[in-house]
Amino acid sequence: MIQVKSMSKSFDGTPVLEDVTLTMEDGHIYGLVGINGAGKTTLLNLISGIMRPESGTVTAEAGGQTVNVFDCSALKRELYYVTDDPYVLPQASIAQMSRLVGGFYPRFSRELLEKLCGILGLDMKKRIGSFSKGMKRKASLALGFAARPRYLLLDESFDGLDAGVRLTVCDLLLEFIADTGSTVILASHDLGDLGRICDTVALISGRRLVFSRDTEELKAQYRRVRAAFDGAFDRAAVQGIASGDMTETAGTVTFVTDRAPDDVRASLEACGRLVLFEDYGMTLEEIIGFEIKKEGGVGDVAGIFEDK
Amino acid sequence: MSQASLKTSKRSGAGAHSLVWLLRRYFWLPFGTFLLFSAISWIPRISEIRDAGNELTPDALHARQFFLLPRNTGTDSRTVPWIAVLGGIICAFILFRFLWSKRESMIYALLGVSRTTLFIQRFFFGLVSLIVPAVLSFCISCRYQITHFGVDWNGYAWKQTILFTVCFCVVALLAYAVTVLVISLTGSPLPGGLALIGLLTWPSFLLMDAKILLKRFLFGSPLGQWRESYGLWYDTYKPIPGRYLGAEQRFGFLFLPDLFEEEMHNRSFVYLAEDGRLFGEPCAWPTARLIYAAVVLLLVAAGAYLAFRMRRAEDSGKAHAPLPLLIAAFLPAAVLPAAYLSTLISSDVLTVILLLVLTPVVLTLLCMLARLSFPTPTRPEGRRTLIAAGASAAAVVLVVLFCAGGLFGYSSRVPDADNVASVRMTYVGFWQNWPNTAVGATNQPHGWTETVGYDGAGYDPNQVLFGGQPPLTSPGDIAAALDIHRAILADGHVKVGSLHRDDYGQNVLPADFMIIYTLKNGREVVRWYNALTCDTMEKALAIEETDAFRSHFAERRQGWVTDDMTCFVLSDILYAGAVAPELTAEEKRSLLDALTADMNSLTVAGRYCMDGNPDALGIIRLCDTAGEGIAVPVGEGIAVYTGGTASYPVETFYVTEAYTRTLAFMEAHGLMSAFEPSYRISAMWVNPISCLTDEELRSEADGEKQVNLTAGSVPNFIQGIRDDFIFDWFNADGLDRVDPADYETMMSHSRTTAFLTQPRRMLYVVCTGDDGSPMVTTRFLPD
Repeated sequence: MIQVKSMSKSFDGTPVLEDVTLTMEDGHIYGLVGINGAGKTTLLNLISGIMRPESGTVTAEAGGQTVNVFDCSALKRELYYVTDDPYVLPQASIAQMSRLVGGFYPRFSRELLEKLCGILGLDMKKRIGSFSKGMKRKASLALGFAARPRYLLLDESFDGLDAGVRLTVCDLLLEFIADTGSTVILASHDLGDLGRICDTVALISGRRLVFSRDTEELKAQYRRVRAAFDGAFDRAAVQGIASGDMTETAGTVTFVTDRAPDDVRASLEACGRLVLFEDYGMTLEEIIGFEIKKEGGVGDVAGIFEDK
Repeated sequence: MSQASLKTSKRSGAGAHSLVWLLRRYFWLPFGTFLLFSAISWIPRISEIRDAGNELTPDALHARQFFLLPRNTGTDSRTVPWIAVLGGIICAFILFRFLWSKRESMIYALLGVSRTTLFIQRFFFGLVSLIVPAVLSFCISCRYQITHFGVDWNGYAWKQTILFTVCFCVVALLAYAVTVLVISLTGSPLPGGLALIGLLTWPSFLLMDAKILLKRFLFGSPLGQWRESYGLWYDTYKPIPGRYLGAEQRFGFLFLPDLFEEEMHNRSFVYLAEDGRLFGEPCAWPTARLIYAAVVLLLVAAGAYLAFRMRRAEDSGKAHAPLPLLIAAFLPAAVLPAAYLSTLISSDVLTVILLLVLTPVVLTLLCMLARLSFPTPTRPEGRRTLIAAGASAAAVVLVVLFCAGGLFGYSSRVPDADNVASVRMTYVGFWQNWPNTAVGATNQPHGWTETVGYDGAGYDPNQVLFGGQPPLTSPGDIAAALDIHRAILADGHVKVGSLHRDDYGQNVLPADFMIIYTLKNGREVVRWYNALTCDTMEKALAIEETDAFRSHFAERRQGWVTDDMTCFVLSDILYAGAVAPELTAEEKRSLLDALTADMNSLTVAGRYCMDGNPDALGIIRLCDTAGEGIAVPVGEGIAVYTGGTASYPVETFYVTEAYTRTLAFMEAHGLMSAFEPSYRISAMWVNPISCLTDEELRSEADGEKQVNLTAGSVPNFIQGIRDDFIFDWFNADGLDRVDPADYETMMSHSRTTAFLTQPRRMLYVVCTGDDGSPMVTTRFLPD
């Protein structure tokens, strides 16, 4: 289990993360989402023990005890971090890198690595530097899986992978979790893949952790509602039902709400003569996008191209 | 996928794996440093062979006494410490450069060892990669020499070689540790490079700055005061690119690679004689320096470790290069060029102060710009930089002001006579201004002038300036010494000369005049003045009338007689027509007795042919050896002009009419003809009293415009011993040539010694030597 308590971090006096508290249980896949520069990579760096938090603590279980993660060699042997921009030794092949990596991870399996390379179509003897971006990513992932760490941290690890490989990697992750009981923390902008495999999703926005929720619960909570009224209706009351902004087109209003459908319908009927009520489930991408927009992570683009 | 079905790789602990992997990856590093260090001896030799026009054949190598043991044969071997430093820097960079790459350093931070383990493994691997190859290369070179050249490998040679190896290793290790520290502290090549240069030179620069400030602004500083032009030239000598290692170190406080320069250059002389013997000059183990170096190494290594552990480069890809470190490193360095420029531009004190203040500020701003071009500085950093720059400049100004203001009475302090237990005075001056107790090459101090301690192993001011003088202890003698001191203070800081000939102080003698008071409470008060006016010098000669000096001189002259080791060289007043009469031991003693009696009966004014006293009739020189040919040097080393071997003069007597006993002896033995003028003047010119040397005069006689004074040419001219000292202001065009028709007139007006009434001018006379070569001698003109 990894525990982040009231942790803050800043660079050159500029805060990047503030008062983040998070608990990650073993055997789960955690998705970290947020806009660019939100602090996802920084959070991964802090969890991996590369960086030292300025305040608060980051602890994890390693070697049978709870340890402070910063520069903890016991944890390092149980944690593998596939960085956003993986570094490999100059002129090194996967086989050579495996000799470096293997010595540091007690459960590293070269046999597994060979299998993974076979699955991912990687030549273990070829120089990694000559690989394409996606191939390099696959090589890093293969090394990470072969290390069979207790904690696997992936930063934008789906970036550059084709759809087929993504699916394979998702399957590998699920298999990995099932077999090892490890914890995977995955920072990604690919919310489709996250929604598919993550048990828990954490949203970072505005230097803060907005939420850390079970993915299915999250999907079940948010709904998009489309409603139409015959004649005049109480717009302010309708806006009050919505969780965010509301759009209106020819008497039809659309909004997102986290309230129960029956409750929403009853409330809308009280606002005017309701002639249409439809509610839809939302994808994780829509939910996260909605939350990010609500947090002010992105600006409103409405009318930006209108010729005034 | 069944976990149980997978075989895990064979592995030991992560720490061991990290070490094994380090060794596998950098196995070549010790070999590389071995090749580098082995090349040390070849580099100087190659230039020798190239200069000789030989090919690199075994015969040529042997003919050039080529062997692997690094030895000092001159300036070329100054390459050696540079290579030691270079080896350390390269080694550190190879092992720790990953810290300058965010991606790479993240990987290393993620590996399953702690930062401490990572640092220790790499740091010690670097140490081993430097020490083992160095020791190995030296061992091989020794073995090679023994087998190939059959040299007599005696205990001395072993000691020197071990010493050299140790010094070499220490310099390399210090450079290595400093580089690791810098890499850990910085994040990119520019600030890293600047910081490295700064740290490697900072202690030297700082202390040199302190010395410059003291010498320049604190009158009577125990470091000596500032002499215009060449004082500055010498003090700023080391930082001149390419010469940094060349100049000798006199104060032993300098850092890399100065720390062991003496051992590596001057004291590690190992010569290969024609018969295959190795010999050299013995030296003591530099135990104190080794301890000092070990402490510095430990401190730097500890600093590097802390910097490595606390490093935040992974945070943002930049290492938060410590700007205060850069400023601290470069501000001291800024003072030096400022002071140097100041004299090039002007000797005006205000200009100096202005430059001292402005240069640090400008350099600091440059540092800021350098940082701006790399990681983005934040405002607080900028403010800190400005504050640091301002504080540094203010500190410099304060030090200058305090020193220039006399440091709370320090510079004008003359101890109360009641508190003084004894005084010693020593004078090292221009050879033309020697008082009668001039010394010879035996390096034994006599009287109150001292020879300069150039004994082939470097200049030792302690040896020169603190030995041999009789302490003045009687109240009368102490009072005389205090009067001399007060006269010097009344003159203040006088200039000898500058790069511009017009600025010569016409009546100022370049001299090193030191006064050491021992107070009754046991403390010492030391004052050192580097220039005296002729008036003050006249007053200072009164020291010879003190009881202590009179008895000292008498004792010494008595020693000459009993030693029975003398020969006499008699000549005219221009040293021409010199003869060495064959005298029996009894006659020698008689002549010595006569000279001694005459000298003791004369006043200082009479002894030095001062105004109102008769000039010399001729010159008698008492030399320490006989049978080596008659060489009548104007200064040491002039023997080349006479074609003979110099027999070094112990004392020169300018024999005037007042030397009644001496003249009687000469008449009785038919020696008076030696005093008759036999010189043939071929050129003559007049110059203000200055610091020109016989070497320059010879060059002038040969028509050279500029000269390069070599070490040791004028042993008692304190500046003259310094390596490759270039008197570039000397130019014949500025000299006042004398019309040949006026030669006799000028000669009739000129006097033998410098201690005349003012204004004084030097008359350089070129006469034809015994072998037909030009010989330059000096006379002095009262007007």
